Amino acid sequence: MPSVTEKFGKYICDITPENPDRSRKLLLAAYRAYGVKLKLFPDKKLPRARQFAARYVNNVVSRMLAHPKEAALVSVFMPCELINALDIIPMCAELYSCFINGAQSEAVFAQRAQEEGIAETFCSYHKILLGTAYSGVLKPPSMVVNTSLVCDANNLTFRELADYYDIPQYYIDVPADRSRDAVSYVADQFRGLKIFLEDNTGKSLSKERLKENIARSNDTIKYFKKCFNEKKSHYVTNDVTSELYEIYMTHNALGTKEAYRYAKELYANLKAAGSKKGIRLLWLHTMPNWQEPVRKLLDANDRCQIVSCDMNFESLFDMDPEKPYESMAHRLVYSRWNGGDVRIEFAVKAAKALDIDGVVCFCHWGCKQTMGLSAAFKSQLEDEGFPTLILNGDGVDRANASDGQVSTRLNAFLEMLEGGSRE
Amino acid sequence: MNKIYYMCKYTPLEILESFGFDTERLDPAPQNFDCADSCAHPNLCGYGKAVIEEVNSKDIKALVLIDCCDVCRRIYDVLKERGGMDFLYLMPLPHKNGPGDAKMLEGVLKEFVTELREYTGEEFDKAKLKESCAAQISYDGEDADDRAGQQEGGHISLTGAHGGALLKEIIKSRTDIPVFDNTCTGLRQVHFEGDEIPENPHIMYEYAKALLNQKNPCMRMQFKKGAPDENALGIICHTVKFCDYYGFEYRHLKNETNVPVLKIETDLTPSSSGQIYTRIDAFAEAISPKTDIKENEMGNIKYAAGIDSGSSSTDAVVMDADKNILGKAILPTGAGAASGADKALEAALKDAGLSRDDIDAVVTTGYGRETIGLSDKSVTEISCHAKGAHFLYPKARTVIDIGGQDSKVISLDEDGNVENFVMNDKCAAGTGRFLEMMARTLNLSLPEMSRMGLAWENDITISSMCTVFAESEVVSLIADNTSSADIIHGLNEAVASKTVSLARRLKAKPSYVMTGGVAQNRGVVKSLEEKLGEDIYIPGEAQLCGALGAALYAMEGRG
Repeated sequence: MPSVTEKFGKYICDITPENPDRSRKLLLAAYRAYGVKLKLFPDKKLPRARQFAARYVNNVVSRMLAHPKEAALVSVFMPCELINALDIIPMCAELYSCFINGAQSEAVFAQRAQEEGIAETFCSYHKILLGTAYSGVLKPPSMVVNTSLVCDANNLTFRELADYYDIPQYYIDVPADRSRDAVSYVADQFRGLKIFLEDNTGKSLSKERLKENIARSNDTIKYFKKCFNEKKSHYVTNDVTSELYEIYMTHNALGTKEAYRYAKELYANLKAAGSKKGIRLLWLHTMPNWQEPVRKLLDANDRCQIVSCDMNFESLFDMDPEKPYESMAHRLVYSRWNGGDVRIEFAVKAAKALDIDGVVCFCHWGCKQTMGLSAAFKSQLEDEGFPTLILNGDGVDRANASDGQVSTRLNAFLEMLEGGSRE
Repeated sequence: MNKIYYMCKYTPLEILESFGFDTERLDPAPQNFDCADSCAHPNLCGYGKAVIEEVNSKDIKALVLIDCCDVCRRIYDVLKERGGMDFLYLMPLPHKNGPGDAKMLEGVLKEFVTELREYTGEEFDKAKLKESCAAQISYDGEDADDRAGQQEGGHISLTGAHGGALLKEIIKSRTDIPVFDNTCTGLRQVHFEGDEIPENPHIMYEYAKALLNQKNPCMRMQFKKGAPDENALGIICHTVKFCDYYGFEYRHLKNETNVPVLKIETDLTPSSSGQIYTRIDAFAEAISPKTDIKENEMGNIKYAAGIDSGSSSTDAVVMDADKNILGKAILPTGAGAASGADKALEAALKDAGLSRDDIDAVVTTGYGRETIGLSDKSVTEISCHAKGAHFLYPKARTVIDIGGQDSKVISLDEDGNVENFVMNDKCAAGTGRFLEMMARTLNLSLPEMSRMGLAWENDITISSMCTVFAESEVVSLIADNTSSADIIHGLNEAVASKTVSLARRLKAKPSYVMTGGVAQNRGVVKSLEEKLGEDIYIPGEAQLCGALGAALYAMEGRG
C-alpha cells in the first residue's frame, strides 16, 4: 500500500501543472506539520544536537517557502556570513530540492524542467529547483547570490533563475588555482557583495556586526574541528538525513547562533558518547537519504554508520574577524573541493584521521565533479588500505536510481568489510 | 616537443606560438570509449571521453586544457593520474570579463609563461607575442568576408556544444547548406581594443582582455551570449549527453527567436552521429523553401506506393490517382530493411490486385528509407507522418507518434506542413520498445497488455523511465503481489508523461492525432488524453500513417 507521503507526493504531482499555488500551500503546510512533529516527537535515538538541526533546517525551509521575498537564493557552497548578518534567509538551492524529494513530489518538477529543454542528465538538485520555478510553485526570492564553486550547475541554474524571475544576481567567481592572488581576487568580490546586498535591501551592514558574525563563524568552525577529532574514537548515533542537515550547518548557516549552538552541542554529545563501534564509513559527496535500502543499512544502526561526509569538513578553516572578506575568500579558494587532486588527498587524510573502515564514493546523477574523480578516488584510497565502493545513484530523484541495485552493492560492500574487519 | 594540443578557443594560442609551438586543436571522433570508460566514469560527457581516447590513441605528450567546465577539470585529473605526458596544463579562466577579471587572467597568463619557459628552456620573447597577436589567430569563418561569401543561399548556424568537423560535415552533406560553427569551441576571435596592440608593459593585460572578450562567448561565461543568428535559415543546437550547458542555450533559443531551431544530441562517435540523420533531414525539409508543386501536375502517375521501413514493422500503402487506398500491408521488418520492404510492397500490391509494373512512383520513409533501394526518393518519417495525418484528419495540428524505436511530436500548420518537431533522445524510454520489454517482463502479449491496463484499481507510480530501472521496479512490484493491471497502468502513465513532456516542449496545440503502433494501446492513449486535457483522434490507419504520407508524396510527383 502506498504510504501517506507517497499519496501526498502523487497528489502534488497531479495538481501542480494546473494549480501551483495550491501545491505551494500544501507543501508549506506539510513542512510546518513536520516541524510540529519534530518538536513534539523528536527522534530520541538521535543526540540532542541532531534533533535540533532537524528542527532548525525544517524551519529554514518553511520560512524560505513562506517568505521568498525575505530570502536570497544561494548555492550550498556560498559563504553566507554577509547574508545572515543582514537577516536575509539563505535559500539553499540543494536543501530546497531535498525537501521536495522528502515530500515525494520531485517527479513533476524534474519533468517540468525537462519540458523547457533542460537536459535529463543535468544535476537533479538543480533540475528540481528549476522545475519548481518554471511551474510557479517557487515564488521569486529577492535576489540570487552564488559562487562558481564547485560545479557547472552553479554557472547555469542561478543565472537562469535570475533571468527568469528578473531579479538581481551576484556571482562570486572562484579560480581553480589555490593562491594568494586568487584569495585577493575573491575577497574583492566579497567587498562588492556587501555593496550589492546593501543596495538591494536598503539596509546597512556595520563593521561591528560583520565582525561579530565572522567571530561566531570562527567559534563554530573550531567546534566542528573538535567534533571531527572526537568522531575518531566515539560513536554517536547518526542517520543519513542528519549528515545532510550538517552540510547546511557547516556552510550556509555559518555565522548564525543556531549553527554555533549545533556545533557546540554536537561536540558535547560526542564527548559524552561511548566508544566507537560497527563499521565506520567515510561518505564522499551527497547522500540519497530517500532511499530505503540506504536508510535501512545506515540509519541509527550499530552495525554500520557514516562517520562523516566529506562535504562537512571541506572548508573548516580559521576565520579572522579583522579580515572578514579574506577569511571568506580563503574558505572558497582553499576548499578541499577546489581541485581534484586536493580533494582526493584530503579524503585519504580524513580516512586515516577518522579511523575509517571503508569509503563510499557516491556518484550523484549528472555530477561530473565527483564521478570524474571516482576512479582516482578508488585507486588512491585503496592504495592506502581503504576499500572504496563507487556507488551510482541520485540524491533527490527517484527516477535515476534503483533500490535493488543500490541495496545489492551496499550490502555486498558491508559484507566485504565485515569479512576483512580491521577490528 | 614542437607540437602542442588544445581544446578550447580561450587557449592562449598567441603565447604558444610565440614560443615556437605548432598548435593543433583536438577534434576527436572515436569509435568507442573503451579507454575513457575504464579510467574515468561512463557518465562523463562524450566530448570529455573522446578527448581522453584521442590523447591515448595518438599518444599525445603536450596538452593545454582550459578550466572550461567540470569535465575539462576531470580530464585533467584523469590524464594526470594516468601519467606519461611531458606537459599537461590546466589554465584557470575567469567566468566574468570586468577589469578585475582581466587582471586575474593577466596573472594566470604570466604563470603560464613561466611554466612554458621551464618546459621549453626558452626565454619568453614579448616581441614575438606581439607578432602573434597581430596575426590574429582565428578559425571557423570568423572572418566577416568568409562568412559573408556564403550568405547568399542562406546558412545553418550550428550552436551549442562542440560538434567538430564530423558533425559539420554531416549537416552540410545532408542539407547541402553551408554551416557556420558557433558552438562552444567554434569561432575564435581575439581582437584588441581599437585593433591596437599595446607595447609592454601593458600587452599581457590587453591580451587577457582580448581573450576574455571574444565575440562568441561560450555558455560558461557569466556575461550574455550574443543574440541568436537571425540571418540563419535554421539553428541546430547540439548537445552532448551529460553536458550541462547547452540545454539552457536551447531553452533560450526556442523562446527568443523565430528562426527554426533543432536540438540534436550526440556523443561524438560516428555511430551516434549516424542516428541524427532523420532529425537533420526532417529539419532540412522543414527549412528549405517550399516548392509549389501542384499535385500530380503531369497527370502521369496512376498508381503510387509508400513504404515505411521502421525498426519493428515495415508498412506499405498502394494508392490510386484519386488518393484511394487500394492496398496495404504491415509486416515485421525482420533482419534486413530491404527484404522487409520488398515483402511489404508485394503484400500491399497483392492486396490492391496490382503488380510492380503498375506502380509509377514510390517514396520510402522510416529508418531504413535510404537502404531499401525501391525508390529514387526518400522523405523522413516526420514529413510523412505529418502528411499522412493531415490527409486522415485535416483538423490535426499536432501529431503524436510513438513507434518502436522512437517517439516524436510534430506541429502542423493548416496545410499539413511541418512547423516544428521534437523527438526523444536515443534511449528506449517512452517508446514502443519500452512497452514491449515491460510486456515481456509481465509475460503478456502487447494486445493483452493494452486490454489489462484499462482495468486498474490502484494508481501506482513507476519512478524511472530507464528500461533497466523500470524493469527492476516492475519485478519488485510483481514480488509485492501488485496486480498486473495496476503495474501496466503505472507504465502507461510513465510513457504518457514522457510524451506529454515532448509535446509541452513544442508548445503543442489541439487537435491531436496519434499514429504509430502504440496508438493501438488504449491505456496509453487514455493517460495521454488525461494529461493533455484533450481528446486524441486515432485514425483507423494509425499504424500506416507514415507509409500513407510517403504514398501521398509519391502521388505528388516527388517520388
